[in-house]
Amino acid sequence: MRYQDARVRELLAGEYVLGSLHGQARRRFETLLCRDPDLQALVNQWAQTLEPLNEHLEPVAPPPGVWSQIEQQIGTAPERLWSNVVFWRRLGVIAVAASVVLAFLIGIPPYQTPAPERIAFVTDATDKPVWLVSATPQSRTLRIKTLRPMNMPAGEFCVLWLVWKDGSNQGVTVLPDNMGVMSVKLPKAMKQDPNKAELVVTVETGDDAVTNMQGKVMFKGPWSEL
Amino acid sequence: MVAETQLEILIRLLAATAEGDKNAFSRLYRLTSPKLYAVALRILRIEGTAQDCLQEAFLSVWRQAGSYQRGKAAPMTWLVTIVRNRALDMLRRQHHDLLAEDVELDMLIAPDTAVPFDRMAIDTCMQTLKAGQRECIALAYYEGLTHPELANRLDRPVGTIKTWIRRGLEQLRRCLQA
Repeated sequence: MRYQDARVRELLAGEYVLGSLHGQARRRFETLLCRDPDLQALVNQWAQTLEPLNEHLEPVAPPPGVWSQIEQQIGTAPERLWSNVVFWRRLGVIAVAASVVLAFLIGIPPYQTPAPERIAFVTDATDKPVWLVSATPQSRTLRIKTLRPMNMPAGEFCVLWLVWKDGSNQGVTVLPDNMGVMSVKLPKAMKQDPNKAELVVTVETGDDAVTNMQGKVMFKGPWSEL
Repeated sequence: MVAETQLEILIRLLAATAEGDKNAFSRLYRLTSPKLYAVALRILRIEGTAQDCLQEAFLSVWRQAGSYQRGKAAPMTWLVTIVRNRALDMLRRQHHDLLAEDVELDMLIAPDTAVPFDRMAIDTCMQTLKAGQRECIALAYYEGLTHPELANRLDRPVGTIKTWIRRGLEQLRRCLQA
């Protein structure tokens, strides 16, 4: 495959950092980048290599209004959950808050009461939310909404796990690659409280994907209580 | 008592920011925003848009400071990467490039032994490039121009631009590694 060629990879990484890689090529490269630590390292090297070019730029003090806006967004109304940056950080989300809120609202039909007690956004390597996982109180059902398809290569899939502090884990499901919502019943035999587990997503390939955690961890994060 | 270097200060401020220390974050902003604003301004050219970019980038920094890995990348490179990617995204959106989704490089600073090159080294190596190669690389980096945009600006076929950039990057890397 062309992307395996060391020279091609090196140049694509350079062009990506340079900014000249665009359109479809940039998108393909970013898809590869998500799963390829070596490619990420190349990109990192190019970022370091080209960064001194910025020394030629004369620093320009931004107007005070910029900081005021930032301060306002990080420093006010901690009681308002959706505008609280710490809340978002806990979720591991870097996407624009408004779009995530929208996705969340769309994901929860109005007739479904009470509201989910716990939610977690599963993010990809670029910290974009890919799935929204929610759990209703006292229920052993998880609701998974795909926010963005991952376009996994054939034979690879993302698996959701619950992992407890003692290291034990429970495979939940293969995460859907298509848009939409799915519900998953957690097994009754689980010995530990699912609410106390961390959510982990791995990229698996084998037939025993949901029973045997072997793949690379793509995401790890706690539930957030609502 | 040994004075902290700028590098150490930035590393410390990023670590404190990761812990939610707003004073550290404010100081980080004061120290780095003039350079980062210049980077955004150079790419986006419009002050208001560059300010939006800087604001969004720093909100990302506030949320992601914990993902900065000391020793894996210089703090300024990490910050510049966040700003550049935000700016390039905004530029592509301005240009109605629907394929340029707002994917970020922010989190892609991977563990590796990247060698820091100083400005003198890159200046010297940029001078070893042919004029066209140098111009392409500078325009792409500073202004975020794509291949077709570079072709248009320099009045050359896209194929020539691609060759210039690739040869320029190869030469740059060879020179910097020498």
